[in-house]
Amino acid sequence: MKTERWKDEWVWHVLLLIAIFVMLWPIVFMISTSFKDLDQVFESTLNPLPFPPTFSNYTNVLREFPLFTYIWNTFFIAACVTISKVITSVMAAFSFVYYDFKYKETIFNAMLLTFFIPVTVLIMPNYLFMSKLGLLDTPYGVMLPAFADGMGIYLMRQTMRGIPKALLETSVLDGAKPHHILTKVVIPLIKPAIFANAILFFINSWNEYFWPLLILQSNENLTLPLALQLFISAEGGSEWGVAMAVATLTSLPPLVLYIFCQKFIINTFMNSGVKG
Amino acid sequence: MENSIVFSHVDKAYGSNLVVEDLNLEIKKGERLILLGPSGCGKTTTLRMIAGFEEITRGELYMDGKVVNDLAPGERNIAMVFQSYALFPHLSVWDNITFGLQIQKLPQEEIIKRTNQALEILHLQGYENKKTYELSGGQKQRVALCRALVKQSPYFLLDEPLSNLDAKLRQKARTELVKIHELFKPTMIYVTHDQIEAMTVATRIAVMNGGKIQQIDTPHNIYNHPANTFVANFIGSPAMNIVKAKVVGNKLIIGDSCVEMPVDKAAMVAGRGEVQFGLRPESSIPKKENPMVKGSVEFLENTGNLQTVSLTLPSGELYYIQDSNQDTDMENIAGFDFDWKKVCLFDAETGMNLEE
Amino acid sequence: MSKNFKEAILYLLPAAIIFLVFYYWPLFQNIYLSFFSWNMVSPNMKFVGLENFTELFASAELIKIIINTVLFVLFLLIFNFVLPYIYSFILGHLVKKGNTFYRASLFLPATLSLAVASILFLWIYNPLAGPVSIVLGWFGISSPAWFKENYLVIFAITTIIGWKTFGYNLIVMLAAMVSVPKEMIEAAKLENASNWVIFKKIILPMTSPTAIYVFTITIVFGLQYVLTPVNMLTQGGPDQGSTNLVYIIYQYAFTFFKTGTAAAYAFITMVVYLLFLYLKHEFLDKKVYYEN
Repeated sequence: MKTERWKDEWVWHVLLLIAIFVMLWPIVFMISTSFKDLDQVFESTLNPLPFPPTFSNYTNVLREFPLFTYIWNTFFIAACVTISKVITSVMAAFSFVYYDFKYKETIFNAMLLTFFIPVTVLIMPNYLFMSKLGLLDTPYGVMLPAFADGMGIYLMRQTMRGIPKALLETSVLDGAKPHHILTKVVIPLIKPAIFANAILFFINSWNEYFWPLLILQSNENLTLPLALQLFISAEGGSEWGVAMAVATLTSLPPLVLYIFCQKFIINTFMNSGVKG
Repeated sequence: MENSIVFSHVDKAYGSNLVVEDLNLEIKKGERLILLGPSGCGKTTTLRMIAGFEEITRGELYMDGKVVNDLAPGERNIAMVFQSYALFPHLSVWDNITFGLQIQKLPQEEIIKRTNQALEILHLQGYENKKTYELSGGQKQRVALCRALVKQSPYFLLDEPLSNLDAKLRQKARTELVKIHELFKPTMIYVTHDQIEAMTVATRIAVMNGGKIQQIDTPHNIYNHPANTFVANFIGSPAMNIVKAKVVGNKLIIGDSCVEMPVDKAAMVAGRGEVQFGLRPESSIPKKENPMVKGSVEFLENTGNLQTVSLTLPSGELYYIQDSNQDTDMENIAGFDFDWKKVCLFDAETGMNLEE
Repeated sequence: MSKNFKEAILYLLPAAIIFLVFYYWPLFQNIYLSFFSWNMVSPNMKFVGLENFTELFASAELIKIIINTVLFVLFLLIFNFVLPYIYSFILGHLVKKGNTFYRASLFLPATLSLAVASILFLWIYNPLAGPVSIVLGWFGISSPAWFKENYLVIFAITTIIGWKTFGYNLIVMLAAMVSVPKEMIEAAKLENASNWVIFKKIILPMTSPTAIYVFTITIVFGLQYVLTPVNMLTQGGPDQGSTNLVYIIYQYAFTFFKTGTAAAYAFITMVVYLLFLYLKHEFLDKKVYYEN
């Protein structure tokens, strides 16, 4: 029985392993290159285990660039964005689930639609607005438009709809006010989903490139994805070890978050029933 | 009027769909009123109107003598037990039970006192710190009851509270429920589709169908004097036999059997050509020879304590007879006898009981 | 449940303000800006009426942009719609072991920044010494300059997006795949149905709502994801060979400083997007066999 099953399935396993190779090899390659010195980069390009590994790329980059400042900038923006997105999404979703009002569906769709508007359609007016507010080249200019998230509202609403109605009704009978219901019933019940969404908000904000690119100009305000750009133009394409070291550092937090909360993140997607 | 609930000409409509129609119902203080009916009859909607979860389309709902149509659910001082129990999975048994009291900001000693008392009544001591998912179905049901109890509300609503329990537990829970009610005597409104539950728990039953109340009365009267054929059919298992009967003078022709009526019944049917003859299976006395009504045996079922036989009357109608005597030779009966006192007569068209 | 409109609005307000100020107001401002000739800094804005639009529609550039955009969409659909669709079927119904491992590994790149992916692939595709050129060298083929040739650049960039987005789309599709009742497939297997028949007759209709969603995001988001590698690696080049409807707005606004044209393009892009979403809603969603 066992061998027969293997006979049936081995083609599919081979196809999957090929896909996994394509998906994971670049990451392995990035990390291994970051431990190669200049000679190794060009002489043993394909060797995934550089010997002897060198940390010089990392020490160089730390010496020459304010890398910790970049990390802090990226973290600060991502943390603020995550917290506010969670708050606005949970509140809005609660409103859609708990209250009945006219044009509810229309308002909801209008909010969800924002998720689909291409970023470049918005950047020029928003850039002009930020410049009027004097928020150019500040982290706040990057964050502000990202304080709400159409998809976040959609996912939160979907999760809240899964709460049995009787749980809300029994709280209402007990004289619970809406804010009680939100904080004492709804939020505790959907904590895992909130947490998973927060991780996604964080990763997305951490990885954000385009909007920060416009807002942040001076060197000390850059985020990690923007800093990466410096290594393309400045190094003229030879210092690959250094570039890969920065790329690795940029990828580290999302990777670590993903590896620890992997089940969580994947389940959120799989259970949220993301449908159009 | 104190602590009573009165529906006065209440309609409930979803769009053009009328689910409750011209409801007039007075629920007295301290009674156990059961709303009984098939699914979709409007009984749960009626209960939810009392709780304030369903808006009232037309008419007035009075509680304690005041119109409460627009009063928020949280301000009606109602305790309710849900079919699903609605226990908070993230809270312990204790926190579940005290949830409402904490929100009402009652003094801590009072909360502790009431909760301990309720835990004792429902034999839940020792479970305070358990999470609700660690409990069995019966325990969950008792926690739900406990949570309703500690509120000490004058109104106690129950929406199919026992339907998730297995048969054995249900019987125990039923008795427990009645005992608890006797202890505090709140006005209790209880929704169920289970007639046994209704018969055993209620002081009065309101049978509903198609959004209308068919009859409100004591369990005894509902069983023995059903207001119409719907109630007669709905209560009892197997249901009351209802067969066509021709009226000829002071005689009734059932199947091809002719039986003479006593004076009171004859007066009831006077002037009618046809009526419906209703008799409970257990009130029909099996007869081997010379029965009042003839029929041929179709099928016999023996459940150990009861023998149920189905007869075909000459008219083609099916008729059930039940006998608790295991020695009766049910297979070879020729028909049945009956006591006229047990007979219900209904209008041939409207199905209304002709008694009044 | 509750009908308290004021409270409902209160809870909506924080999100609503952000959306109104940073999403809906800019749409109107674009329309306004599209009637002017301006360079974003000069104090004088010159009203030019519809000139920005007429110029834009007369330009040869527009045709190139449309061709590029269509090419981007085609490649994206292969990498981020067709492949995840097939792989989710394999993962959901054809293999019994190793599911969690496959799933978790394939999703990994989805967590990385597109900026990282861009710089990584810039090195991988390096025509002189990059890994791809070495592998091609084994077969005696010399590596093309991936980011410097027309059309090829579009392919190369979509592989970056494909790499980064494949896993996400796979997971979303997989959710739909595993929600197809196993009994249905088993019943079909009892009839000796081949995998292909099962895919065509059961999987395809049962997963179509999610497939439409993935199809939509592949196009709608794919074109936006493209922005990062395009801007980092080619700036729209060579000779506008890798620009598209979404990137061109940025180019006119922040590279050529022609706000009027940028706003006109923004307006057109938005109309195209809305039209696409509308058509999807009207035609695709209604053809779905099975909803929830």
